[in-house]
Amino acid sequence: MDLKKGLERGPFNDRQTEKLSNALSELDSGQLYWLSGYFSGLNYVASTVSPELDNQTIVSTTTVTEVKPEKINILFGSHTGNSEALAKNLAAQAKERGVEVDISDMASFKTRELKNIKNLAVVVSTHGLGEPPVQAEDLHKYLHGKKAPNLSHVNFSVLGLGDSSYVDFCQTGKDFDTILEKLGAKRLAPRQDCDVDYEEEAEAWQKIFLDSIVRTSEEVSNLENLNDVIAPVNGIKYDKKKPFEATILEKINLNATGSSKETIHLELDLAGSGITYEPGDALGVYGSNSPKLVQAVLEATNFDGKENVITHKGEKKLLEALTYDYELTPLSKTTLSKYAELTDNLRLNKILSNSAPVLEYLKGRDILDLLKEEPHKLSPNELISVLRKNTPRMYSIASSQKAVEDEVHLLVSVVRYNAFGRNKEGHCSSTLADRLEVDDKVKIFLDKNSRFKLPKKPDIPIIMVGPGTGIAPFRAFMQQLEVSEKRTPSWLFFGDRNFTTDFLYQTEWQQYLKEGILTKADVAFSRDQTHKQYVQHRMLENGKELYNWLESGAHFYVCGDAKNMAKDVDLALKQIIQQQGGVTLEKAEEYIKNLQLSNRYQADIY
Amino acid sequence: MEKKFAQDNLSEDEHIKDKSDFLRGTIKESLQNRLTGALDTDDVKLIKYHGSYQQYDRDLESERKQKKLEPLYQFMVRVRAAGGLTTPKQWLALDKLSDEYGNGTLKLTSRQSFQFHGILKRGLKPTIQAVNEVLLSTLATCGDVNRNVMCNSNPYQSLIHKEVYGLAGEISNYFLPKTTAYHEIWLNKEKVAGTPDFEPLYHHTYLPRKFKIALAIPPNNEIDIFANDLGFIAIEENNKIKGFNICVGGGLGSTFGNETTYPRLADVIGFTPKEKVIEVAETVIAIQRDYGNRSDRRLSRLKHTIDDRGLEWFVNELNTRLGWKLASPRSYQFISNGDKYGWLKGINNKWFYTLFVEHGRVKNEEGYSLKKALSEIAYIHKGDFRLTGNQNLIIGNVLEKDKKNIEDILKKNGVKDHSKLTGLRKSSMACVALGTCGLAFAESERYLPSLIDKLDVIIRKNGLEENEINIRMTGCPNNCARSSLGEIGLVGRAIGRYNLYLGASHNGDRLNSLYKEMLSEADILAELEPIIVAYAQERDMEESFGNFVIRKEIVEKTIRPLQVLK
Repeated sequence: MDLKKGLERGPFNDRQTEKLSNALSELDSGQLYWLSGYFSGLNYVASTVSPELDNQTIVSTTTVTEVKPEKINILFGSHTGNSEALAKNLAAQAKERGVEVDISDMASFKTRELKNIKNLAVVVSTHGLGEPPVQAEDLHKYLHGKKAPNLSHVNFSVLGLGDSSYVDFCQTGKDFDTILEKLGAKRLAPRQDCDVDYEEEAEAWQKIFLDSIVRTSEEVSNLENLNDVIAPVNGIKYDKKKPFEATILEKINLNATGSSKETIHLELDLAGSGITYEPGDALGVYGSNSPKLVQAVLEATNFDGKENVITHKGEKKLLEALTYDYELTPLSKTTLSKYAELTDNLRLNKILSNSAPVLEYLKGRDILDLLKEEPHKLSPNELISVLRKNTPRMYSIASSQKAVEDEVHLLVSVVRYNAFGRNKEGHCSSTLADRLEVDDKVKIFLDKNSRFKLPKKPDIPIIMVGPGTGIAPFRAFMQQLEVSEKRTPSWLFFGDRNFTTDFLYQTEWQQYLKEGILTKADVAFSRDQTHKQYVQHRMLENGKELYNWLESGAHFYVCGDAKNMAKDVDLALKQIIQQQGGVTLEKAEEYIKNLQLSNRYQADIY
Repeated sequence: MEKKFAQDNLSEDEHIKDKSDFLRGTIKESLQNRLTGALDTDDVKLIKYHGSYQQYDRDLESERKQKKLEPLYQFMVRVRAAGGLTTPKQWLALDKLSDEYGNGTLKLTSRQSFQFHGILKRGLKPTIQAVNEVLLSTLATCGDVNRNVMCNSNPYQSLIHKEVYGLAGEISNYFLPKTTAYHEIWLNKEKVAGTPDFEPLYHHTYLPRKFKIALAIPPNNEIDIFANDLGFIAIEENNKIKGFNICVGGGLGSTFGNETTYPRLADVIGFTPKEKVIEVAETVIAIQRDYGNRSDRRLSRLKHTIDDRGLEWFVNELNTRLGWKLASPRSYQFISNGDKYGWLKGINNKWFYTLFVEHGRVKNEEGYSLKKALSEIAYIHKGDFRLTGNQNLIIGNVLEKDKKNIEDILKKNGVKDHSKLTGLRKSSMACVALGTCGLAFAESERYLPSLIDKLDVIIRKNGLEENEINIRMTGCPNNCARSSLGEIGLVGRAIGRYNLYLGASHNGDRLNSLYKEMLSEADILAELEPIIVAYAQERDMEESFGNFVIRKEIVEKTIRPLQVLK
């Protein structure tokens, strides 16, 4: 045995290694064995932790530093309950040996907790033909995915359960064992695969694992403080003019198959951007035009795209300018005016002379409709001169940076419709839905919104009304509250079309309720019954309680559609104040005015 | 005397029943919770007694999880019809409900019940109300109580059928739970103040486990009498019922990897005059209530109670409690547990048409509109509809002159003539399994038809088209489609993998035995082909497939034959 080499791998500095090596090399194996028992025995003695060993020589002091074993996190993924039972048994054993334990099923485990874990025991069964049980699916996927963290601060061991009559015996246990090592974690005790009669093997593994925890607790304690994440900032300040190119990490259409809607959840990587945001802020996103529409415009104008044009961003080829620097949809009034002026078009000028017909004309049309209906020979530069410059779309941020760190999450409703004989889509939402995928980059910048913020003081109740994508900032609120471990009464009103397909972030809300981070939630699904029901109906049903919340100082937030929803919600609020407060309409309006003036009624509507 | 079952270490289900206030739980509140399509955990157990299982669409499970949506929870609702008898009006109501709230299909079950699938939580109450409006019920079609009572559905052969059928209904009603919870929750009946609930037989924690009763009129055993906890075999003399042989302790469910669980056929323990049938049933149920295992649900059927203490103990206990002794069993003979298809004339001179419904699924699909056909028939039909124990349907009591109309409707809707199907297909059964049943390890109903397509090639090549070899598949060893009584039994182990069992008798009195484990489709075909070929060439006259594989020692005979006491 090369003693010195072994010590070098330990948590000692060079000087200590030298001394230890000298002192220990004189001992025979029996003496060393005695010492190992002696040291592990010392761990049971309660004493203050003193990790600074610099000025002490371990063997020369009689009261050797005694370290309480580090906490163990036990994660189990169970299908029939056997893994759960074993995990609980391990927890009990560990406690008995004086080790602090945190036990959780994999499904409710928050992956961001991984960075705080020192010792990890994984107890997991295998389901079907080598698949993880449902409870373990997410964690399994996460650790194997691109967002998997570095786990070099973790010591682990895996207990796998399975049935050896299946080909992929204990496959899930093997998967966890392999991936944890791959992510940098150190295997504390070898994996144990257990068959249907698992008791003895499981018990043996427990003992080995706990022994090794107690033995290595000293090392582990010195490995703390390695995880401070420092965001690299390269000095550039990103803004609307100079957007950051964020990589798309995750893209999910939250609506289930069969839904009449398409709402995309996006996770973007902000690492290196230096962007810091708060719940309530918005993100500006630049879209581009669909190649199909660009091509159709080129055809309609008889250009091939290779023509040079002078844009606000310098000289470019027409194809590139049309794709990235201008908007082709929807048709704006300015474009219509410029086009009418440029072409001296009588019909268009007549339409433009009155506001109602203009709105009617613009509705559902894009530049291609205009070019086809009122053709006119244009030069490439004339074409771009009528177009609206590419303008970013603002989306309320759906995450809290405290929770997701280098990420920012967005919730985007995809606009699609058919008008004037063609399928059309929103400029920016279709960019995100159809033209950008995971690993692609999207141009973004932060748009602060100081008018939509959680109460500064803790304990103030919050009422959140956010149907559809209006739910986004409230997800950020919840994440913030969860991380800050603040518990304040909170009440969510959410609505969408159909319960089974359109309940955005449903499982997250359920979890927030279960954990008490969200106090109360009421939902309305407009198309699940013959009479349409919206968030305002739920507010009115709960009028008395809602009024009581307001009276107790609650902040009222509304986010989402400005055209109908925000008005209906405002009206419902007024009715509730009138009815419950027993006051006139004027007084109710005054009540609301006061809420607004004191920043207790905040709206983020679009 | 031995002690009754110790009440310590009760299973979770027992605690739930105990505190449920006679099956109320918080079902009412659960139904009103708009944030989830599921019920509260305890209510998931309790709603079984009201006739429903909470399930979820397993096909959509991972998609929805990724989309941050809870599983698509939905409910199976089971409708009881003692002996499987319904009127055309009832049929039409069920047909309509399946479209309005369910997945547009009806499942005819292996225990003569109807099942709706895919009902959302908000559709539960209207569905159950509508079922009750046509004088059917869902009460106690699931749960730890006596379930739907089965009875031979083919009345054309026997004068005593009507009486036996009547008795099935009587038993079914007699053992319904007495709690008014069902009426309060689903039918908006107010609980009368000051009237405490009382369950004279079940008591407030009901039975340790489900309890199944069936009545059979030999020689037909299409209801598989020996698979029931309690069976009554009618003994007929000069077209009059003499009484019934009693058999106890049947139950086919087991758990893989747990050797203390096993399928078991009921033992014939005695004979009772017909007047005493309810008394005997009540006493058997009471014994199971008192002695059944309430700590491990896998070991809690009557079969375990009997095996734990011995059959002799059970018979003694029964005789003691009755205060009189059961007589010795009379002789009886079962010939088949299959159905006879097509038109048969009953002794009342009316006609009965047994229709093959593949795995009991009444549905419409391209070129095959069975559901539409049956609703059209229900509009003109003046007789009745009878479910068989093999997931098939009898259009009953048809006048001679109406036969053609019914045939025409079936033909017009693409419902095939039975003569074109092989005996194997006509003798097939499958449970629901994926994508809705939470217990299934593998496909069953959605898969067996295509497996039979492939087996049919072998069958036809060997000239066995007419041979009624019964083949039964279940997605798990709970055995809803009674695969343990299949001459060919297939039980799902994992997606695309099955255990193959062979050697059950053709009349339901012998279980099959394990032949090979974890077979893929290719394995199943490769294993069965040589056996089918040998059967075609080497079978004795009238020898059933199940008997053949035993005689040839392809599998060993099941270890424990059913016992008939002297």
